[in-house]
Amino acid sequence: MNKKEIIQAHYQEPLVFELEPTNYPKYYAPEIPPEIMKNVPATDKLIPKEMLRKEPPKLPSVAEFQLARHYLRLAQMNYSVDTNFYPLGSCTMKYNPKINDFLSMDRRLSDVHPFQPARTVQGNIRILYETEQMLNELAGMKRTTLQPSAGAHGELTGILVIRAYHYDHGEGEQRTEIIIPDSAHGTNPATAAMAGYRTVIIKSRENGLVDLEALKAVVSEKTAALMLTNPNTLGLFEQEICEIAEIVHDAGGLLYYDGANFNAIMGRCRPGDMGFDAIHFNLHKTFATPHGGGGPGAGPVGVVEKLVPYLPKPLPEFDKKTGTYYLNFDVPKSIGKIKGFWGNFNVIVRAYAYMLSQGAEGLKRVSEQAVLNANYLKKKILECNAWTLPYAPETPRKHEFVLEGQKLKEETGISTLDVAKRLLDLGFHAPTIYFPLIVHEALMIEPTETETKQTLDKFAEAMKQIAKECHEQPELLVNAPQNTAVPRIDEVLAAKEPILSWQMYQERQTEK
Amino acid sequence: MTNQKEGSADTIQKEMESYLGIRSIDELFEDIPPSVRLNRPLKLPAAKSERDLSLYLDEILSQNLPVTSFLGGGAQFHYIPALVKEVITKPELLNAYTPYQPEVSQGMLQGLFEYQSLINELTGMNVTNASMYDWPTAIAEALLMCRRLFNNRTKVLLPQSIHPDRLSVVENYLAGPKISYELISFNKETGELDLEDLRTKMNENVAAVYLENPNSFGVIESEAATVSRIVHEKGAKLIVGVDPISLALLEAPANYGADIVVGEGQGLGTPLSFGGPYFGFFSLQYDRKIIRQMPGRVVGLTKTKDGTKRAFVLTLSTREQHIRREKATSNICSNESILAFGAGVYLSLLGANGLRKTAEYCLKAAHYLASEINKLKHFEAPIFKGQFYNEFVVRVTKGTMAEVETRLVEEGFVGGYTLEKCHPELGETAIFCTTEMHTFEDIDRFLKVLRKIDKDLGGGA
Repeated sequence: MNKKEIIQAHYQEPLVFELEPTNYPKYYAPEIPPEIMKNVPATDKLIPKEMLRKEPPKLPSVAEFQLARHYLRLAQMNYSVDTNFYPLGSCTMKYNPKINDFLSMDRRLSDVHPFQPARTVQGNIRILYETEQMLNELAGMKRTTLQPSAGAHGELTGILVIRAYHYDHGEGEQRTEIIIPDSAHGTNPATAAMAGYRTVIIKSRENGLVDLEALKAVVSEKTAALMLTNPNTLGLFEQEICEIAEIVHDAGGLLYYDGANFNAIMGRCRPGDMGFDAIHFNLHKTFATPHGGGGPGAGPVGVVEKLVPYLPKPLPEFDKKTGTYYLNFDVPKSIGKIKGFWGNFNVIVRAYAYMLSQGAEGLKRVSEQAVLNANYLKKKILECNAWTLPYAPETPRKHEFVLEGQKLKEETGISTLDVAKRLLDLGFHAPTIYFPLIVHEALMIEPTETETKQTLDKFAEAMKQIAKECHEQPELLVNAPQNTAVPRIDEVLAAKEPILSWQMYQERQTEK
Repeated sequence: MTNQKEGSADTIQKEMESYLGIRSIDELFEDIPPSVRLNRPLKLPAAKSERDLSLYLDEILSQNLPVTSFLGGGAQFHYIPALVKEVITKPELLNAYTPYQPEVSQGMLQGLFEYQSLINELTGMNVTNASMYDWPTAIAEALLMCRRLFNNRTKVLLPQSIHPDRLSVVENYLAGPKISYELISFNKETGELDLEDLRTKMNENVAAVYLENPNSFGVIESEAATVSRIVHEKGAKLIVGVDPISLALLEAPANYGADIVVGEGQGLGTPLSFGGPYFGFFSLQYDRKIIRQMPGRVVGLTKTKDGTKRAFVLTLSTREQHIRREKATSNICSNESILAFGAGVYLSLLGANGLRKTAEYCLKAAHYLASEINKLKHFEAPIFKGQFYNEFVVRVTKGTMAEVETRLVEEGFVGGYTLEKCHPELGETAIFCTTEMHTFEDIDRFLKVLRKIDKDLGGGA
């Protein structure tokens, strides 16, 4: 049990600035054609004197072969869903099929400028158009903008669309509040604040769901919207969603659906049918586009008919008469643009390919398997008798579940953080921890559909082993991880004496 | 017909179900109220095999016309070295989530730390965050940040030359916090920022001024240092938007007084991809107080707890939404990490010489093209006297730019981005751009077509 099982490479890899400088010839930048050199004045004549750079940037002077090794080593010190299980709750770390990456690298996609005339990019606009159609159907929405870059960006877009709707109906100044349950993702209140709203937080009931009475008590003529994810962050389906929608709508507010948990319900139910007015999708979660160690994502926003006029422009359209696709900029009430150009196209293409390979049946199966895996793993881990399942323990979860580590902490002094770090030692990525905030010592686990029973069993075994270690060998947890590229990191020091760059690092060295 | 393997997969599924004490998966969805259940199949296409998917996409992409374009305006066609593509598609990096568990994410974290540092070398700052969505949102976030640095300054100033799409994004971000803005006009002759207009509009209510250099007309702001003085005299902050490749030749904005530097990172190894994903960079000088208002993630260098090793970690996260919720500096969560990582590879690979060579190519090809276009009877290029980098405004004095564009497409070219909607006062204009991707033959063939168009426009003005 104590034996060291190396799960990652351990390199003392220097920074790229610390690699040995070399003069190996390079061929990346092409030569300026002689005809141009002949006819154009020298560089310092073309740039205003005051603006000429006095000192060249101090970039590394290293060869490709040095860098190839450098980045290979860095990659070997990085955990990915291609390495092993990644049960990060609310992040939907499913396997990303390789075909999607390959297709997205086609030069006919990658070398196309966004401002090219529509007639030269019929294929691309068609992809946007068809992607939108599929998303509309999946969520039960009228139209979907593909422009937002990520989930949080989608939230901002959706709330700004709702804001524009209220202003257009003469209630913009009056509706100043957005209601958010205390179990919500952190982006929800941050988005509401960014869009200029006061957030009103409502407590969850003892069953983990929205408290209708609490909701009734806070809705008013000031309510702009309620932001909700369903299933919520506890993995519980908001069974009273129709009543919730009615309460909010009766007060003149709108319902916003945070699509982070959409992987739970595809083909089973649709936000549009539940009474939601706007929804964002996370293409990098539900639709299997790689998360790139933090991005890019894509966060399309679907809306019901009455919100369509306010969507960002342009929207992709198909002209039946001419049989051509075009981008429609003629959306007079549109909020305008929320980012440059039309959306994270290269991400959208991958999601498009994913939806086409899954098809209607496949997408429904995705959600079914995700939910089966979550409930299976939940039961397996609860058998350890170390963690508890707060809120409605008898109700099936959807795609994820949240365990409470309070009892374990009280009994052994071992925190959820220690458990997470020990999981790394055993070759697994840790779940999302300390979220949602309404669970003490929370472990939020989302297995996704792309895991075998065997993997789930192994993970449950690891949890069982950890539960035992908490009592018998707590030092293993407190000192974890040991098998990873580096042992536990001093995060407090990082924040207390920030070194945010090579430049600051050097300044710090000279100070010493 | 089921083969052995599928048979056993079914058995496993059954095992899982019986372990849960359910007869079918449907039971796990029984808490969904019947009234909202979808009782019909999704109206989506049937599943496609990989072969069919590839064929389908191939057919769709064959509807795109291959063209040689001279478009810029916030996205430029640059060469991407093979190593950049190889590194950012490594599954260990590409298929990782945000590095919340630093001990197993040192590769991504170190790469982002290097990226942050490499951008600093260009901008002259010592802090760069781990990326914003793109240039326009980086401008918007910078403006919001500057607003937060003051108690009661509620206004910002932007150049009138700014691309309308960037302005539209900014407007959306300013709407919520009710920050007002005014546009500073440009000098009609030089295309540079009108300093008199700036002076008139500066006052103690201005939190920040945004300057682009080169600006959206491609013109280099020769008096950026004066702009900085005027802005700082009134106690406001100066945000400068730049093309990172141009910084191989142009002064680092920190050296002429920028407080925040932002820009489009796409040129540094990210493909055009019809507009995204790109990434925005966001740089500033470290200050204990100011850093607390910075949006986005940032990687820091620290030690392991046992003090034995250097290590990297996401830090200063008490600014962020997952901790601060409604008091966060921004709602940004997912960003554009892998592209920023790729930019680090790009800058390390090219080095200062390679970057300079690339920038000089862009600069000189643009000057060659502009001077040749200017020789035509019905074209003027550039229309501004201010010196330019690799984009410049072209005017057609007879007919319309739209007609020119149509002719060009027929010949397999796309010219510039037309400015008729945003700057009708400039006449029939478009902004053209060259990069190191334009060979002499490309430019020469393009000029031949333009000469033909010019001739067809006939005599007279």
